[in-house]
Amino acid sequence: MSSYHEEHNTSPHTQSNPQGRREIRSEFRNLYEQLTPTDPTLISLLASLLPPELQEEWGKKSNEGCSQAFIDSLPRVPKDKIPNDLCSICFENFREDEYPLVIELPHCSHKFDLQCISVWLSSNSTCPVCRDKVNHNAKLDIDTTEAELEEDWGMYG
Amino acid sequence: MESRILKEYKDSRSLQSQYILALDPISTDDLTHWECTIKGPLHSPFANHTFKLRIDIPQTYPLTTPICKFEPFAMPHPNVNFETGEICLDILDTNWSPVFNIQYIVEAIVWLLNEPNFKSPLNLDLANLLRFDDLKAYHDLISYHLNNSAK
Repeated sequence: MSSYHEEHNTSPHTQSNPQGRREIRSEFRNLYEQLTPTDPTLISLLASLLPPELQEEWGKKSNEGCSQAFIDSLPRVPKDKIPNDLCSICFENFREDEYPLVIELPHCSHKFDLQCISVWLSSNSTCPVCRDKVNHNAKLDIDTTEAELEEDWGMYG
Repeated sequence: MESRILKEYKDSRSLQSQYILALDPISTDDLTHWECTIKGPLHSPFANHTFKLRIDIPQTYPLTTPICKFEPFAMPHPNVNFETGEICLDILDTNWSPVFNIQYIVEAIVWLLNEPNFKSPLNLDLANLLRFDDLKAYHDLISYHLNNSAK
């Protein structure tokens, strides 16, 4: 008969050390009484009780944001094309800002203050208005720029 | 982000809504704690009752969601924890977006009163009655709680 771990394609790593798990549990119990349930210390303790494969998943989930490089590469809207409209994050009119920095999301063309959208995208990867994945074809974008660069080099070389 | 909540406060002064009877900060010195009175939607078991909501705005608003609760022991609903008033609603959790505002949240909660979802229950008794389509018992249990908490 195959074991639980064989059936589920996991390793018995965490069970090989029941003493360690017991210590983590009692530490968790102590801290739980002192801290709020959402305290990061508690959450990381809980995460350390997960099998390593699941820990990886967990890490992926808590880090859904876009890279800084992607955020920096978002296309700016030229000053004369900035609409007379509100940024849907801060509710301020784009044009009321003396030095507006407005970007347009490549996938859906929704516009935001750069400052507002960069904080959101650092921990999320969807457009706040339409929920489209903003970095859906980010990789493709980078590839084409590189191709264009190479072409340019060819022309001047 | 303080200016955004100030804007919402100004807008809320002229708010007219069928189901939102009052939407005010608890103190005008501190716009991070709000209280809201809503009317139970017509044609729902909550019609002819009013309910109070407490809304706490985090420092990171609107990038993170406000915390909204009914008063304890006041809202018998499949997606509300009866003891704590905690609400299970996707836009108050993983589906939050910074384009939502306080008024939108309250309207979504009014909508939830009319559209209970037994798949994400915080009140198992009510959710099970709804799941097995025992609508008479469902409505009776809600009325029982509503009439008891009114006293």
